[in-house]
Amino acid sequence: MNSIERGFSLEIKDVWYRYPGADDEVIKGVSTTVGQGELIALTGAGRAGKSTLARLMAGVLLPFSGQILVNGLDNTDEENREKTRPHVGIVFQNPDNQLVAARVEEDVAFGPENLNLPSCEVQRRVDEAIEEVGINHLRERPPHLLSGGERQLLAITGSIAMRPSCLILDEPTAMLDPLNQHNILKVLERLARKGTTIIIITSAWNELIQFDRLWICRDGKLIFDDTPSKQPGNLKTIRGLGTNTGGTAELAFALQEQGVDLPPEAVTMNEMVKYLCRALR
Amino acid sequence: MLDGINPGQYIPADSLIHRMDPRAKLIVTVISVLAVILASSLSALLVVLIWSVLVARMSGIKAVFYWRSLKPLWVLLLFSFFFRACFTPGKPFIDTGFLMISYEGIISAGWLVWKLALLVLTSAVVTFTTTPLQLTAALEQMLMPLARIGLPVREMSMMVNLALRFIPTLFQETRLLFMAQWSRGAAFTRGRITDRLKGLVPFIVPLLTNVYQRADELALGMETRCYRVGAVRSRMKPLQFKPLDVVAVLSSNLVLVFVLVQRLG
Repeated sequence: MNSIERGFSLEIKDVWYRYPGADDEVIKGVSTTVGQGELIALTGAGRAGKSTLARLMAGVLLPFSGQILVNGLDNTDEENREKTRPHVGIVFQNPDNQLVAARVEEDVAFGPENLNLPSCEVQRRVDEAIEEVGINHLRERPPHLLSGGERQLLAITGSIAMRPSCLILDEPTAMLDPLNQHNILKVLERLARKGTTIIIITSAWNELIQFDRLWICRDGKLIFDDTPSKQPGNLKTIRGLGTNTGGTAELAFALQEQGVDLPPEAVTMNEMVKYLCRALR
Repeated sequence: MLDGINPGQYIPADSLIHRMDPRAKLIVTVISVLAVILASSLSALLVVLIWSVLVARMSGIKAVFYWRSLKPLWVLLLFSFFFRACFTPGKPFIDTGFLMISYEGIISAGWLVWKLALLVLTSAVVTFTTTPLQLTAALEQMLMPLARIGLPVREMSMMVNLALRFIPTLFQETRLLFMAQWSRGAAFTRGRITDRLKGLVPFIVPLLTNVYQRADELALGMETRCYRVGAVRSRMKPLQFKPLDVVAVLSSNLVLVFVLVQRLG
């Protein structure tokens, strides 16, 4: 929480990464900065380097060239990493392998307990995180008896309980049903409003279009770093980059090509419905 | 619910036994196990039985779960009964020339099976009512004096916790993998022994690969949640001996004293 009060910053400076034993670099000279409370969507085709970039930002992988500064501290330094780790949380694609306890409540407490916080503070964080994500009804359940979506929610809750300044999520909604997808995006928006930086890897157009900022990765490079929907020019660029835009956006682009004057935000389902209702009346 | 529960796995409930300090549960279990082993008269074994059933009833866990924890051991129980019955000398009950079962043998075998079943029941109460994390926390605190001589007690207890946490997950994975390979025609249960062994290869290889991959990702996941080897961790619910725990430990001691008096008297 302290870092949020002070303001959070993440700077990526010309970062290169190659997996041990591989010939080619997976990340090639990525540079960008992230500020406090930003909602960033990271997208791109398979093997574009999205997950690797996420792991580099979280300090799980170390770049072989370049620097990643968290609140000004170089993350490549072992001593600094211990200080910066609580500030940058990450939720991996497969939640199963992040759950360490045999009860939901105990699992959420695992992170705060590792921070050696007083018992009452651990309990408070656990209660708040569980309440925030809305999984109170699962509190006593063993993780292996939860559905895939519930396990994903639990993994997110475990990270939220650590109160990171920045939370990185690798395809967090991939295993969720539409209702839970909506719920978790609302939770992330609320966290961002409270000052937590959210970076989410997603290929769902409806999700990424709602974010403040969009990163597109291709061949290990960050080829797009801008607002996704506020400028009509950006929408065309994003589409041209071969992202999975989904049915609503494709319909919007087809209508625009036919000369229909659609507002730029009509590429999401809600806005498209609003526009069509107005037009049909 | 039954289908998702494996024998010996934690079952959430709000009972007196669930609320007990895990250290007290471990002490009571050790004393109860000693009482079962040392019981040498019918009255002593009856008292131990009443004590074990009382504790099991107070755990709020349905009897069917205890029955299920005994089920995987039926071969062992049958085997133990048969051998004890056959190799105990005494007045013949069945004598076929090459096989003689005595009256004393049957009584002794029944005695043995009773004791084994009681041991399973006693240990099942702990595992049904205590989460692996509570259990390892108790072990960690009880073994902490050994840390002074350089034993990595915290790391050992975390390893035990993770092993217990992943047993049900690996069970599920094995079951799924078995079904997937079986549906694709893998011969696990038919054909010659060499064919069956060959059939196991496409089952074991992905299973081991998954286990290694899981372990790797788990280590990463723990690291990102600030787990550090050797670091001091706090606890959300610190262990605390309450009056209930003292009563439980004293009661189990009374049972043990009764058994010892019966044995020595």
